Amino acid sequence: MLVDFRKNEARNFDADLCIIGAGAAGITLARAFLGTSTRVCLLESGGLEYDDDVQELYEGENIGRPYFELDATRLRYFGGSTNHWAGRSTPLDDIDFQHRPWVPHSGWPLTRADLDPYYKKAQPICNLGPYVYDERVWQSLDVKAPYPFDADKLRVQFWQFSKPVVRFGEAFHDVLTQADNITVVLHANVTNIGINQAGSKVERLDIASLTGHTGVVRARYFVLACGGLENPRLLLVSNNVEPAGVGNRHDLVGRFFMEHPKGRAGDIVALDPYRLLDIYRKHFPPDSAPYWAAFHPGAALQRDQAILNSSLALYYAPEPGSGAAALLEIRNAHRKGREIHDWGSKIWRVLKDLDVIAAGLYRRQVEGKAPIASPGVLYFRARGEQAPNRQSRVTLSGERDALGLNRIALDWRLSDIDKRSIAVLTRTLGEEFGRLGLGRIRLADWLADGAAWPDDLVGGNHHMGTTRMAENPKQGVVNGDGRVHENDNLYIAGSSVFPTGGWAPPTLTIVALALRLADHLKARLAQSELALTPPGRAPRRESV
Amino acid sequence: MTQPGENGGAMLSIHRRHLLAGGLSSALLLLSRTGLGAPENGLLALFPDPAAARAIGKAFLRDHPGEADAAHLAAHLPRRHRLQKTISADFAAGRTVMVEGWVLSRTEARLCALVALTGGQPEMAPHAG
Repeated sequence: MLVDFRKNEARNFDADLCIIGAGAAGITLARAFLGTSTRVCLLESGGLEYDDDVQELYEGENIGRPYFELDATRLRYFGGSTNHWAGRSTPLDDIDFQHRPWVPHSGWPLTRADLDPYYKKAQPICNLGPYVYDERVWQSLDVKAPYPFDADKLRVQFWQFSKPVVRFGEAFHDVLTQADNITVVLHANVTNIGINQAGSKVERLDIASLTGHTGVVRARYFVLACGGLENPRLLLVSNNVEPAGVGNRHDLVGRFFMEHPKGRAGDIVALDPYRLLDIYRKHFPPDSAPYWAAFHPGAALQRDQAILNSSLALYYAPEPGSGAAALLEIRNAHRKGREIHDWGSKIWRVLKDLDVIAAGLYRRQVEGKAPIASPGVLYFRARGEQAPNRQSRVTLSGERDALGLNRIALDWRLSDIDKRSIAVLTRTLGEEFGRLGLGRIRLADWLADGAAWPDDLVGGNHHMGTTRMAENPKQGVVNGDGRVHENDNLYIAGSSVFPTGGWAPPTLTIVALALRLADHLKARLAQSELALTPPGRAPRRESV
Repeated sequence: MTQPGENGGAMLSIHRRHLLAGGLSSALLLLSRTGLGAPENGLLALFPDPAAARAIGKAFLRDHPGEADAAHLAAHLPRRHRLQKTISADFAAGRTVMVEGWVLSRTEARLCALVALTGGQPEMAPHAG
């Protein structure tokens, strides 16, 4: 069923499971209950399309490192931020789950092996190919004898790209809204998580629409799935019983905000640039998801050098002023909906270089290789892991939104180890390039000892760590199941529970964790069904 | 920190004619024309502009003032026919240095330093041969 809460079709809702937020995590979780007897209520702040007034609820303030505008780094309508997802996917590494003595606050309460079955199930949901990301991919790409990098130092892991990029809202709207046991409530904003006086249980959610309608949701279990910036906000603003907010007895909610710092790490003088590009640029196999190889430090190198996990990917940039550069500018402006300046000059440049552009397009369309259509340069771009840092955090600001809720202030901070890890990885790759006779690498100036982070450093729009997972309540907001430690029926889904973030984009892991949480909740629901059923009677079947 | 043209930056481009041909042979043509395809020339090949090699050499000597002696450098450089093997062995053994951001073998850095000290005429230095 689909309800538009602005129309006040129903003021209050009662369910077995209430999911707050219809993004990758929330929709995956709701989907997992299709065909069951569990009554699911899926709350979404927005509607089915983008709306400025709804998106404005995401405005906030950056008070730390320069960061994306907080109402631009995520999307608030059905499907959530999958509506602008690039589709880049890879699982976290084994070592990402482990406690690393040189990385304070590292270690998940689960292993990669625990998550593997869910990663496999997440692949088709995300429109990805087989659950293979290691060097076996070379065979499927028909790449012969890639260079023999020292496996103790460097490993190759691939990204797959969702094809076509799955927008969870569009993809799963019909199946969710047509399900007997699922009620999707649009334009319903949670304004308070109502807990009992002991703080041990959520009793109700207060919801409101921007049109002034209010209501209450009651459920046996609640899952907060609003993303790494909004999850801590909702916990912190719900402070009428616990002054520090729900789940925040140990002052952890909002802390440990992590991103994937991304920047140009090294320029390359290659002895055989075409072979490098053919192997390490994006591949476009005709019948599967695109692949792209990334270098990352082997576990031995991470241990020996006391560094984080990070990645380097090969990029190619057309020469400024060339026809290919003009084509790229036109394409990027088109994709981002921006106005194209100096049309005439750009078109002239494209026409002038039409021969090389055609050669590049031939590579892309016929050979399934990345287009190289202009004189240009090769370089490596880093996507780094960020170490957990208590001071990197989300707090409530004094500003309030249209619903009267405090907005957030984001204080994104990076640590020395974040930069040093990228520097060591790039240098190691440079040494391997020299050893194998591939060329030489020059590290970017910002990677020099004592240099500042570059002004143009960006993240990946990945918001992680703000309700981190740990078995010890003093170290994490949620336990290994995703349940808020001090609360019996409140769970959190999404990248806010990541205690560390590796270098993998979070969406695939978000989906895998949501599937795992679904199994856990099904088991709890089944257990409580049995407890409620008198001996000799069938379990109670609930209707919507 | 690093001036354009002094760090080999101009070497980074792939030229138009090689894009059109798109093959290894063309790339090698580029490399041979620029000197990159002549591994026996070591770092001088990577930086065909002697000014770039000199700049690297000066930077290396700034960080390693104890090496600022042409005789010392020449004594630690291999014979020309063994240069490439020595460079590869340096990389394999981790005998590398960072100079102006470049990840170089120690031998390459010393070769540049020698160029810097001898004004780009390494053959004039003792033992260079």
